[in-house]
Formats: sequence, structure tokens, C-alpha cells
Amino acid sequence: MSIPLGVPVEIDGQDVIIARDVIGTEALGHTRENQVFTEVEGIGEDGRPPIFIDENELGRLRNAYPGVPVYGLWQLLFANDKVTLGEELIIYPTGQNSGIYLRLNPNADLYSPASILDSSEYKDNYIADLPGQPMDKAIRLSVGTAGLSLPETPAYTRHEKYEKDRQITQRRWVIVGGICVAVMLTAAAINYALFSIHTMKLKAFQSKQLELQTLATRMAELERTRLMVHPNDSLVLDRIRDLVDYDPGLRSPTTGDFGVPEGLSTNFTNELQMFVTSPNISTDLATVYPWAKTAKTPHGTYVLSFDRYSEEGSQ
Amino acid sequence: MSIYKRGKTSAFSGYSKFMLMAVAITIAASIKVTFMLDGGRKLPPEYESIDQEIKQAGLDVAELSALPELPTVVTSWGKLENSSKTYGFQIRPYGQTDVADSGLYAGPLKSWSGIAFGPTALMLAATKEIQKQIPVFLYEYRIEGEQLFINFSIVGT
Repeated sequence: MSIPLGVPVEIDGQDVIIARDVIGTEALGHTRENQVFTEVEGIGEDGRPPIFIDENELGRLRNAYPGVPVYGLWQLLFANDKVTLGEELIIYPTGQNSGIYLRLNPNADLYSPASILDSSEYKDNYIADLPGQPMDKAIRLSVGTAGLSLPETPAYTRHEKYEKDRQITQRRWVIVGGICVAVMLTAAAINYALFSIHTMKLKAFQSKQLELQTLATRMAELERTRLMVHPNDSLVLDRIRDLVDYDPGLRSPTTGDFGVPEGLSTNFTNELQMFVTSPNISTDLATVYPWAKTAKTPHGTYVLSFDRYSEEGSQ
Repeated sequence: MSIYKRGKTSAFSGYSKFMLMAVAITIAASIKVTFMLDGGRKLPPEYESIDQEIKQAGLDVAELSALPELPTVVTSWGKLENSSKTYGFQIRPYGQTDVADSGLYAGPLKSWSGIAFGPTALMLAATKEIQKQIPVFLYEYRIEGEQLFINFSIVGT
């Protein structure tokens, strides 16, 4: 029982062509001139060497059966786990006295796919590359098409691969372009949202400014007819009265008075209220009124002052 | 004989440096533009305080409008004249030109200014009483020869 090679067969409900392939880079060493090999599958996860297919053969099959996907025989067998390891030689007969074989490194683990050296074919039960190799110990594989499933990807020619890669690259650029457009659109949306919020806040601020202006206008109107705090100088008036009660000769300082700053004016709006006492007054008024500060002069007078805002000692 | 070996590809390694750079540049440019535009979207510095200002202004307006209007300066001046006769002190009104830059009242209210003078003790007592009855601001004053001279401004409507 074997799988017909190079003609359409139905596997897994699909019309496909199974072509001869080779395993391992060493296998490429015993190929004929003008043969171009294309990788069908890279090194397997279990260490199985890569699988190649003859591109001329692939091209021929493409011409003969356009549109029918081509898979490698070893590719198919490995994908379906149909290769039994354990001997130096694994044989898959394709005819009465011919077939293909896998050769494993006799000095390595014969059960590991990593030990596969190469693959080739034999005729008349004779392996030309391995003269004297006994074939009776070899494991013989017998696999039919029934129950097989197809490997992940079929074989492609270099041109097809180039086209496929080009399409993939193109698709990736489209995706990249899409991402860039999405990023820009997102940025635009965010900026629009921020702009809207800012405009909204600014409008709210402007209407508040208007409200404040209206209030200010109203305030100005009210201030033309009303007074928030009525003028009240009773504290200063009372204090001056206290001083005059004690010293009826109390007067305002004049320019040139000893101990009086130049240009001093006496004003109810001033913080500092300043006076000059009668000469030779018997009492220092600072001892009578704690809020008063006095300084004696050589003329026998005192320069007296108090702070109109100081509540200290006020009665 | 030649071998065409297809490179291994995975979901991300397939994207070239240029592709990743294009995405990175777009993201960086978008962020930069957003920040740049955001720099122009500044709110006025008063934005945070305007609510408080409005609240305060509203309170002030409410407080002031709750107060009665001041009497006219004519009425208040008349009262002052009467008081001066009762207490026995003198008042002299200032002319319009005397008031300018004299340190007398300069505000939104109507005002009539003048000088009042009389014996110090009497003036002190009278001024305190008058200020309770009419809105009058006191300014520069002098005590000289037991006489008190006070510049004043009566305010009203």
C-alpha cells in the first residue's frame, strides 16, 4: 500500500498532489545539476532536518495540474506521524523493487528524528549511494491515503513564495497604515475633545466674566447712593479729648518743632496722630494713657503720638 | 544547484524596522502635536478664582442694596449748619476748585466740603455727635491756640 506520487489524489477530502521530496541538507548533495530545491518545511521542533522539494518538479506539476496544491511525501508522512523510527534505514516502497528511504546516524539515538541524516531513493532493491547496505533490517513503512490529514502549508515555488511574501508584506503595510491612521484619528478625536472642553470652559468663563461685570456695574451704581461703612472717627476724637482734658494747651505740631518729622500733616486719615504738649507740663501723659507715646524736648514740651488703629488701652 | 531557503516568520518578526518605525513616528508625532495644541489651550489665570469673586461681589451687592440710600448733601449740610449754631462753631464751605487734589473726599458719592472750627473741647464733642447723625468724612486738622480746625466732606446723593 502506497500513495501515488505526481498525480492528483484525494486526501482529507481535498484533491492534492504528493510529490517526491528530500530531507536534510545532506540530501541536496546527491542531486543532479540544474536542480533547484525549495524548502517546504524548516527544522521540526523535534529536531527533524528541513524538508526540500525540487522546484523543476514542482513547476512541472503546476503546469500539468494548475491550482492543485502540492505536498511533499515525507512532509505528509511526518505531519501524520507515520514515520516509525528505530533503525538506521527506514524504507517507504513506491513500487515492487523501488522506493525511497531515510538514513539515520547509526552512532546516534535511532529513535530521534534529529538523527536523520538524509533521504534518497533506491531501485531494484539496491541503494546506489550506500553500496553494501543490507536492506532486510530496515523498517518498512506502508501508508495509504485513507485517514491522512494535510500538512499546514503546501509547497511553493520560489516565485510563488516571493509573491506570497510580497502580498504578506503588502498586507502588513496595510495593517501598519491602518494602525497609523487609527493613531492619528485617535489623536484627532482626543484633540477635538480637549478643544471642545476648552471652548466650553472658556465660554463659561466669559459668561462668568459678564456676570462679574454686571455685578461690578450694579455695585458702582449702589456706591453712588449708599455707603457700606459710615465714617466714624470717635476713637481719635475721644483720645484727643482725653489729652485736651489733661492739657488744654495741647496743639498740633508745626514745621520746625523739635522732634517732629519735617512736612508732617495732621489728618484723621493718618495712622499716626501727633501733638505737642504745653511746655513744663507736670505729668508725662504716657503714664496716664497707655496708648500714648511721648518724647520730652529741651523746650520742656513732650511730642506725643498714638496709633489710630491701636486698640491698646482704649476706653 | 541552488537552495532557496525561506526565513522563519512569526507574528511580530515579520514586521520590518520601517513598519515599526512608521507606527512609532506616528504615535510620537500624535503625542507631540497633542501637547503642542494643549499648550495653546490655556485658561485665563482668573479662571479658578472667578467663582469666588462672583460670590463675593454678589454678597457685597446684596449687603449694600440692603442699606438705605444716603440723604441728599443739601439736607445733610442743612443739619450741619443747624448743629454749628447749636454748638457754637463756625463752618465755611470750600469752592469746587479748592477740593481738587486737596485730600478731601473724591469718590462716587456727591460731596460738599468745607472747614469747621471752634474751641477744641467743644469741637471734639460736637464732631463726634454730628458724625453719628450725618455721613461726614474728616481729613486734615490743626489744634492751634486752643482752637480746632477740621477739613471735612459731607457725602450724600
